[in-house]
Amino acid sequence: MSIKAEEISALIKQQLANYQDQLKVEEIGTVTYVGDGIARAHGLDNAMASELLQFSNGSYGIAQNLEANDVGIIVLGKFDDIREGDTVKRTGRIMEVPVGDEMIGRVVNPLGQPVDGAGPIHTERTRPIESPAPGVMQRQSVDQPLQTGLKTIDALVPIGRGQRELIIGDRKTGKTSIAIDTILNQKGQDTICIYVAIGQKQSTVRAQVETLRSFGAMDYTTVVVAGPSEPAPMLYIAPYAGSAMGEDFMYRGKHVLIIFDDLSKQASAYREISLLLRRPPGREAYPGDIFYLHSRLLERAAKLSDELGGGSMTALPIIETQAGDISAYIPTNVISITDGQIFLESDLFYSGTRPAMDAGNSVSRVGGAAQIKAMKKVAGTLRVDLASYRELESFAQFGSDLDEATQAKLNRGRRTVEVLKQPLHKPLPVEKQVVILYALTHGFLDSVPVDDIQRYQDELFANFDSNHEDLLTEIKTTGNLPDEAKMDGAIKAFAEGFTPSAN
Amino acid sequence: MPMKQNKFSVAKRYAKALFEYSDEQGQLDAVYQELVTIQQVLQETPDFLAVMKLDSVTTAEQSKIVATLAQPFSATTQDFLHLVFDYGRTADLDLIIAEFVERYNATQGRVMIHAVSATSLSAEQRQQIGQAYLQRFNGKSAQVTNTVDPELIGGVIVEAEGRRIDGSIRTKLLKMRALLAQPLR
Repeated sequence: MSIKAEEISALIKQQLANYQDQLKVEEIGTVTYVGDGIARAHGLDNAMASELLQFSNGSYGIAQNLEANDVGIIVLGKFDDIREGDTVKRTGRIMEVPVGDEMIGRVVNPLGQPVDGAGPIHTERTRPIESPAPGVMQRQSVDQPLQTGLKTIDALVPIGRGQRELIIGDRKTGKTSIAIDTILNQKGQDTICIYVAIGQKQSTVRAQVETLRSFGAMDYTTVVVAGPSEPAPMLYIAPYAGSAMGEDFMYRGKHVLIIFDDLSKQASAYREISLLLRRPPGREAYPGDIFYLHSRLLERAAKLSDELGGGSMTALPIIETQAGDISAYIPTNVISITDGQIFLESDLFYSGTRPAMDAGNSVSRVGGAAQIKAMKKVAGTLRVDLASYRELESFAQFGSDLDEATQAKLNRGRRTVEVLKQPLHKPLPVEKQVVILYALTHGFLDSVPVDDIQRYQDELFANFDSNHEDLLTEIKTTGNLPDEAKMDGAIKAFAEGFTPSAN
Repeated sequence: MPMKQNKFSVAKRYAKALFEYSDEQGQLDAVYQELVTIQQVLQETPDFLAVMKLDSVTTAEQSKIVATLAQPFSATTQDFLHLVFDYGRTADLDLIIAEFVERYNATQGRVMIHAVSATSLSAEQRQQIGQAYLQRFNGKSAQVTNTVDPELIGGVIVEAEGRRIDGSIRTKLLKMRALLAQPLR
């Protein structure tokens, strides 16, 4: 291929055509202090709160503290070549990130710049990272399900589109796995996913992106990464940047799932910034507006009214607790903001019950309205069954002489726990969840040995796939439970052919 | 508030007090002239402020130096310099004077303009810059100072009242470079 000089000069001309020779009046200030990701500047008398400022080295900053003599600025990006005496100029804008369909499938930093090495992103639009949440009249109640593909969640703490459901638990209890599995299950559901990784190890994020890619989930997912080595301001703005990207889809009538992994690290980053900006520390040294930090973020998740296109943004914030202490400051704050929580326990996790959800402490405040009818029918008694099983379990350890009713309850309970277990990255479609839960609540599993439950389930699904597809489609399309006689017949026919493993 | 005041807010207070006091006494213009002279002295002897900051120089010795500085001036200015010294703020004298001058200029409608250019500006050019600025923004008169920075290549950067109008060739070239560095669509 030969390169022609005319072509090159034509291209350069084309680029230079955009050059505008205009004098601009800039409002400037002088840096008086810089360090640890924040700077103070003298002057900038007209700067507004949260305004974007530009340093003379090209880095951007956000005005945070407007004081009598100076402005406290958080620096986004490089701050080691900003010096005392440098100028800062106002931009008159607030920070914006690129948004649009072009962002899908990309891994970006909180400024919206690609970090996946796949070239520049040619977006046409941008959106401010802070924007007011939809008001009362712009919303409607949550009534569509967002299937996570996890039996234990879809049956016990169903999540609706536009809901905010907190995932909370100690480290290594499977919080992120639930989030990733939920993303995987959105395949073909016409839902855009945004995964915001805040302060996660870069290696972990890489592994997660690879997981998403290998399951084909990057076709509808954007990953926003603020790594632990980046300055605190980047961690602080990451969830707002992610929300802005999500809102763009929501206001265009699409469904969005956004995951903040995790907000405790964002709170720590904000605490760091606030202490450096010399804001007075409060409880656990967090600043006074730490509640507002999370409430204004999560309030942006919504189910929009039909006039606005009926789009939705479902938020799954994640909070890491220390030694199961959900009464610490940040966990209580976020629990009170969200519409329910999925509480993960390390004891359950290590005893092999995965997902390690504690059914007693987990609730969904609006999700019930968003469950399909068939699921409501089969899962109705599940929570009570589990609760009474947990209660009896501790008694049963002392004596063996139990009456038949108690024995039956224990039996059912053990099988319920077994059915609700689910391997990693294997989300189940809702119709199959209904089938196995139907079999459980109607007593078909009571005679199956506990060790055989998983195999029973797999074979039952295979059997339904090949012999009773009509029943599965009926659940899927109508949302109703098929005729009980048909269901009973199908499961009975399968159970007769099922041979428990001999041991 | 028990928090330690920073030197900028301290300077503002002293400047305001002196300004209002000398205005009441009807000596505003005289005090202004004297302070401008002191400002010049401070610029010519940068050691003065450094010595005032040093703990190793005794208060008695510092007092003598301040007395020498204050001697030629009017009673109001002398009192002010001694008061500032008694409260241990002499090290911030430059900031206080700067605040005073700024305040004085604001009431007189005088704008201090600083122009950076590649070659030194003639008196006529400076006047034109001042006129152009006054036409665009508020103010009655303008005083233009000029520094030379050959790195600008050409054009002029005008700075006044926290505003900057950058018309230098260097900035234009940098902008052009940024434009060319953008990937093609």
